[in-house]
Amino acid sequence: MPKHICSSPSAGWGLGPAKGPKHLWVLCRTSPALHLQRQTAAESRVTERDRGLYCIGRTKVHPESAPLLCCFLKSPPAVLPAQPQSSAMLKRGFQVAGRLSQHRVLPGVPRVLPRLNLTSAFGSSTDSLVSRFCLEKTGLKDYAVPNASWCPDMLSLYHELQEKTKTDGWVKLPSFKSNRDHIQGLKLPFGLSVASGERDWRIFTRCVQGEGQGYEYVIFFHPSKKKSICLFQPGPYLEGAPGSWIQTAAFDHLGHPKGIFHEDTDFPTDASDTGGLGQSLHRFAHGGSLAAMMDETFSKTAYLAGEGLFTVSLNIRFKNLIPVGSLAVLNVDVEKIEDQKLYMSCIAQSRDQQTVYAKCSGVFFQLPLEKESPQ
Amino acid sequence: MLRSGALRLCAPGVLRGPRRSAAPPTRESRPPPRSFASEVIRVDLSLPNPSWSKDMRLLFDQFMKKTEDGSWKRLPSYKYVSPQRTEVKTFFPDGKPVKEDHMPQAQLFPRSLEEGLGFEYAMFHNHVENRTVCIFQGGPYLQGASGFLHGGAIATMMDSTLGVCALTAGGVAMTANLNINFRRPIPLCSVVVINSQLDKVEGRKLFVSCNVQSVDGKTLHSKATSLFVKLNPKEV
Repeated sequence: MPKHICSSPSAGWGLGPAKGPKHLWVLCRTSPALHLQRQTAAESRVTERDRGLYCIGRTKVHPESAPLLCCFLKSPPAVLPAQPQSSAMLKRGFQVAGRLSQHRVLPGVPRVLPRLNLTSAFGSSTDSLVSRFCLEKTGLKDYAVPNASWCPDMLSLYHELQEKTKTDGWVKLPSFKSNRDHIQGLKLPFGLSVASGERDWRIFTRCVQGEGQGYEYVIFFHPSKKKSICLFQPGPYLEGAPGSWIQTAAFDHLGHPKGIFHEDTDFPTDASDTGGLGQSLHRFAHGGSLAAMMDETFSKTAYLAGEGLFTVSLNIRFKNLIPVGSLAVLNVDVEKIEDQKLYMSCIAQSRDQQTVYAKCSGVFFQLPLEKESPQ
Repeated sequence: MLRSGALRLCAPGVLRGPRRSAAPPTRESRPPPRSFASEVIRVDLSLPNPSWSKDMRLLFDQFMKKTEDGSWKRLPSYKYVSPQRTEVKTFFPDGKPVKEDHMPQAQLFPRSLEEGLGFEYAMFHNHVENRTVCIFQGGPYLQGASGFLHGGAIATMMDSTLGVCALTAGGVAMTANLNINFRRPIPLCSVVVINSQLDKVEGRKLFVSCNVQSVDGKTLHSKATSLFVKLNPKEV
């Protein structure tokens, strides 16, 4: 039994015609960035398809040894960093296939090429995506670090999670001003990339740069569990419409809201009357700002978990409003990856989990980025 | 179009002082009588400004023509949503930034970014057909995937448009569910049209849906359905 068997399926297999020598067609996906050398152990051809390269190798095997070969090739070659190693791996695979033809294994192998499982058929594994994403010393400002505007809850939870990055495998994701900075050296595929005006662009969730004014957030990701935790504190720029105030205002006999809406009230000029950042005014974040935060967390999680790039759908159930300046904890899980789509769920709640702010499910489309052509 | 002094707190980059207003002076010295859902009149931002692209202006003119027969109405939109009659000027007399503790008004999120950088939009409502249309131009600070509008930004605009549709149809309501299907990504700095309509009303529930199309109507960017719930004053 070859010792390289691993569990993530990235290859399919099938058998040639029943009569004559048995040929095993091995189909496996590799990263588009890898250039496979022509195999000498077996015929092979590389076909560029819509989403990645397919290497089709053919070798003479005993049909019953096919499952073993398939297992061997299930270790995704793109995990290996350097090109020669990957092609050598495949080359070796074909050589092993030849040797395996000596062994008799389970009978009853199907004769039809099974549907290619695209679960992790894309080139880059989560670990390589994470290490590329979390480069140190980029010279760029990382906004996902504590500052004076962070409330005590957010700070303490941040430090708790920072500890877990050392022990439990969590990774803190950096957050730059533009999404462009996260994918240096890569671009959107198939001519989707848009060239002009890039310097002015800013990622939506970093649109307001004043500390504490807009989105204050940090995302922690766990590569093997494929989970994320986002600590989100909305600032006053993210406030909602008057409807969001009405929930806590009292109403007079005419149905008009009183208290803050009262005609006679002079606006208080010192902070003590408002109780700091609007505590008695009960300001809440705009529903859209939470939708955007969820979409952003989904986006980073989807990218790292499986090269998810574009949102396909978002289904948000709002339960309670988030007060401006308070902490909302977003827990994101990747439910499944199927048909080139990543299905995720998110629940936004208070730190003590007593108040649920919203629940959301999102679907992202997988699309690997391409290497930028050298200028 | 010039705007009156609406000093921004912690404006990214440049700190701007108050600018001269094109509105008549009486407008600022005496606020209008307020009703339940009114806002202090500051500056109506649902009007063309230098950052609007040609497409945006064209669409705006098209819709303004439609308002002439009375069935369509342009909805004004303000940056500060406040019940207070005190003007912003009183708190920022010298144009210096004020600490957030003293900040009086709430900023409406889609109006909180500077001209041309974030959300540029105008809404039109047809009370006969119970439809609200929003023309929207997403600025460079709303980026998602490189070169495209952030999903959350279009979600915010859809929520706002659906909210206005629900508001005009049934009074003050809050978003309970928002279900968005994205079809094609929207390029950054392009103009889209959000058409929303009220589907049905069941007691306090308002079912509203919308779609997002390109200017020429040929591309469907996304669709959404939502549930808004009317607030019951007695329960508050």
